[in-house]
Amino acid sequence: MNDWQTYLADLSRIWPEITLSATVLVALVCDLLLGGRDTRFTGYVTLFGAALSVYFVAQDLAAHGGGAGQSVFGLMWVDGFALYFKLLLGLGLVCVVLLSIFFRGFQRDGVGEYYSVLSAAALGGFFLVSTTNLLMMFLALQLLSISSYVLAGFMKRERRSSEAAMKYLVYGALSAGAMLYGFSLLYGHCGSLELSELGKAFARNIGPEGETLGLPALSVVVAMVLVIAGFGYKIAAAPFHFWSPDVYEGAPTPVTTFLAVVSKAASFGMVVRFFSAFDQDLGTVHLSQILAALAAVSMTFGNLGAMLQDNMKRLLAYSSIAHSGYLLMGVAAMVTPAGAKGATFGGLMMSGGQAVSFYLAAYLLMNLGAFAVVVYISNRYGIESVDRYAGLGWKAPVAGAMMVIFCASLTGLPPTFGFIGKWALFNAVLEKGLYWLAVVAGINTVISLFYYFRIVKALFFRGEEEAFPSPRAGVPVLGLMTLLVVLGALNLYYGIWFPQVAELISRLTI
Amino acid sequence: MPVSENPYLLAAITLSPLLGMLAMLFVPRAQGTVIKTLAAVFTGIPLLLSLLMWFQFDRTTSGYQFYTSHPWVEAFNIRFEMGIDGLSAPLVVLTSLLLFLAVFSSWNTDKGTKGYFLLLLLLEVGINGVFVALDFFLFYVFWEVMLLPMYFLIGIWGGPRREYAAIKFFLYTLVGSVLMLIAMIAMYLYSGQGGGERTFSLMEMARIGAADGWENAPMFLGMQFKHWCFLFLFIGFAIKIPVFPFHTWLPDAHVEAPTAISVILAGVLLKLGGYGLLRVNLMTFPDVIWSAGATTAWGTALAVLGMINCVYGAFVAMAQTDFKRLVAYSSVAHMGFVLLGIAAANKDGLTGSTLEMFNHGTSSAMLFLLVGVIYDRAHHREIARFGGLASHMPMYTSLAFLGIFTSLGLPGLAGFWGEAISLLGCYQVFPVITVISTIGLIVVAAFFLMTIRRVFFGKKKEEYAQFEDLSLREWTCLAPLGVLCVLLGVFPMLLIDWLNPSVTALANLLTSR
Repeated sequence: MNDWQTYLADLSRIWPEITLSATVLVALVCDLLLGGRDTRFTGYVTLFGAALSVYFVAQDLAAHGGGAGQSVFGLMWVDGFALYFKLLLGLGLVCVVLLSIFFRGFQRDGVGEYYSVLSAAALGGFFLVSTTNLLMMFLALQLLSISSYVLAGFMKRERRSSEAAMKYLVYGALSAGAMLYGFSLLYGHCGSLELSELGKAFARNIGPEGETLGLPALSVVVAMVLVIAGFGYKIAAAPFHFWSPDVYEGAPTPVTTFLAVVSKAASFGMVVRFFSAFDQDLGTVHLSQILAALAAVSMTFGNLGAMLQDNMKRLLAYSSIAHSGYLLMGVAAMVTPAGAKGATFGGLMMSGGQAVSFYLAAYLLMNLGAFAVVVYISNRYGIESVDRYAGLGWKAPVAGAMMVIFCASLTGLPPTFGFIGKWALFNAVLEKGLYWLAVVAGINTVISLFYYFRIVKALFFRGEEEAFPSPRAGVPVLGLMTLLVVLGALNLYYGIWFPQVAELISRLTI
Repeated sequence: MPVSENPYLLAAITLSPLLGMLAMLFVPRAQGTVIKTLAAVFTGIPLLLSLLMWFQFDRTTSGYQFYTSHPWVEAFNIRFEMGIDGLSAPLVVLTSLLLFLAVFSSWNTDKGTKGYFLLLLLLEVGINGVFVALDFFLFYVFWEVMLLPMYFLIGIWGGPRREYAAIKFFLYTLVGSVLMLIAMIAMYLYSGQGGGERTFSLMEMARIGAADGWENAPMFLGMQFKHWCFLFLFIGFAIKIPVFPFHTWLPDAHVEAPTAISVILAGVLLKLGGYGLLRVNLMTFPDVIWSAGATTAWGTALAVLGMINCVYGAFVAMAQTDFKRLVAYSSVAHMGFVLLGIAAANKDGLTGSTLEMFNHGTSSAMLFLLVGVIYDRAHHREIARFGGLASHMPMYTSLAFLGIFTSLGLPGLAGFWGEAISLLGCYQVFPVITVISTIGLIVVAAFFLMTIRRVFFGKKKEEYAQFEDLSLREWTCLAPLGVLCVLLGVFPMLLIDWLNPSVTALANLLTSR
């Protein structure tokens, strides 16, 4: 085969990415042609592109299963793991685009370019979950991050929005630098940017040329800590989370949703990929302990922080910090060698990486739902504060009932998908003998109940007689309402009937 | 071995209220009567089905009956597995009966009627589900399904401090649930150790326990696997029972909850804890409380906690001025006898505690209904402010006497048998503890008699003169329970016969260790 034939063959494996790239351009051109007058039309064009890429991903996944996959240009892998994550990201993008179309806040400024940038950010996410090459990983991450900075500041006339973007940028640049430095140290030690090579080098202490590395412990620790700091920033895990409440609050709600859902899922895809290369505990670097500690700190801090919040978006920001902690449990379980602490439970049923993948599906559905309710209420009543939600459940019973499902799911109560996801994570950590982490997560679940159900309490426990701004006239609700009900139903459906998801996950090779 | 006739009956009993919920969703909010009728029909169906089950129940076997098992999530060997034996069958009947009565008891609800009855039906699914589930995962799901409706029923339709009571109930129970979840997953992960497939099936887990299969599991902080699991599960169930010191949610929840919900809370929700101890703790880890022919430190700890419940609960009840709070604390004392019987782990003790669970279900439900009746009229529950009600409301008074005397354990009424037999069982193992616990019995009798004197006798008060006696609706709710109290008091064998094979099997399993 000729070079160009190989090139084309490789290219045909990444239709979803090609579709998204086309969407980026079409959305931009479309907005130019319309002169920024009809942003809704641009939105629908983007929606079509996103849906099409989801279709391609689903087709690949059906054809592929969870197999080992194929390499594309030696930089990307089209395997079950990448496809599964792309499916999540794609669906997340579709919902975010829908939310953006419905979101009233955008309708004052003409923001056609918004959809183009949004698609670009998602494209970055697609690449991020596919690559095993450190350089490509960094590039994809930057595509995602830089687009996100722009998105956070999209409401140009809002001070908070601009401030959020600025804050996000400064923290982001710093952490990107730290991570890049970590990558370069790793490259320096092992002589390769390929993750599998890095893993082998660490395991055998032998470089690619067969030379003994004699890895100096300290600099490996430094490299790993820098990388973890970079990751921690991206997934908003405490203590690298300081940007997130402000950015979540300041950014337009659909963008917040994107950051909380799509961006976080993509980052966790990267984190799982990265650490799956190091399944042996690195003698001196006790990765598993570092990650387990990070998980415990993040969930505790996130949950305690959320208890003090009144603004819904800030509350969900802290909740998302806590969820990063839960997800990190899975990553910690993944890098804990079997049988380390008297854990002799026999064959693995679900690895940490699979548990993370499982939980992310639930995380996606419940957070999309919660943010959709926030958009719904702020569209109709112009409120974003929990205390002022008082009695709203009686005025908007469907949205209220759905919020109950989402809160139950976020807390992890059966029969919702959130419970199944949390159960998978508990399974993973207990299997590896991290008993204390399971107990910490259990305590955190109880703490989280308190603030999630503060929302429910505000919605329903107060009387119907509370004073409200009457609903704004002329706000179309049908589309958003449909989205809400579909998300709520899915949360329940997968909480009761999850064999397909379990089947899909169990075939992922992570 | 499971007897497999009519494998869909239990699923029908458990899940039929869901159909009612579905139907109710399509009824407009304003159609209150339609909604209430639907609720009555769809709590009536499980009641009829459970009576059918009652008549088909085979009294001669200790195995699971009406057994059904379908794959649910094959990747993790989670099964939709249901079955009942003598321990759970009476409780299923009790649940179906009380939920049916609860619909009539709350017939006058006019605030958010639709939501109220939707949640009531969901609550029934959760409670019955726990009693019939034989797969631990399924058990856990039903266990949690029950929380959310309870939270709303207390929090929306409750008294003045309802928000506090609702979240307190929820937080307490969730602490227990989370510990139970951790124990459940650990047991699941370890259950495949013998070479078999991992399983959530409580029958399989019981088999592992009977064969000393948990012995080689990893230790943690110097304590054995089975002890950790037992402890975590025990705390989960103890919060529900509630066992001192986990009992503080109970008085708050009871006082704030509307009458019908108090009835369900005292009547069946507390029994879930006792049932869980029997079904999961004792059956799966039989050698934790009884080993080498003698009771262990764990058994003694359980007995001591039971004793504290009896004595402390009774004394605290005595100090109450609120009628409903008094009844609530008397439940704490009564559940102490359940715990004593379980701790004794012999046939008498276990028979006594299962009897006590059923009989307390009827008598406390009756008492809460009676408190509700007087609260509806007087709009307060201060014992000191009542007096001379006997002359104004004779029928009410006679039914109240029946309920109170059942509750204080008068021989000839149902309450006596449970307490007597469980103390009899307990005396064979823990004589001293039993003797101390009887103080509780005396105190319970004392405060109930004092209450009778202060509420029903004494000086007539003019403000209560125009109170109407029991209405037809109130009769409908109280009469079935009153009949049960008398019937099971005179013929306790009616119930003991059903329990006997299962209780004997469990007692043999325990005391053979």
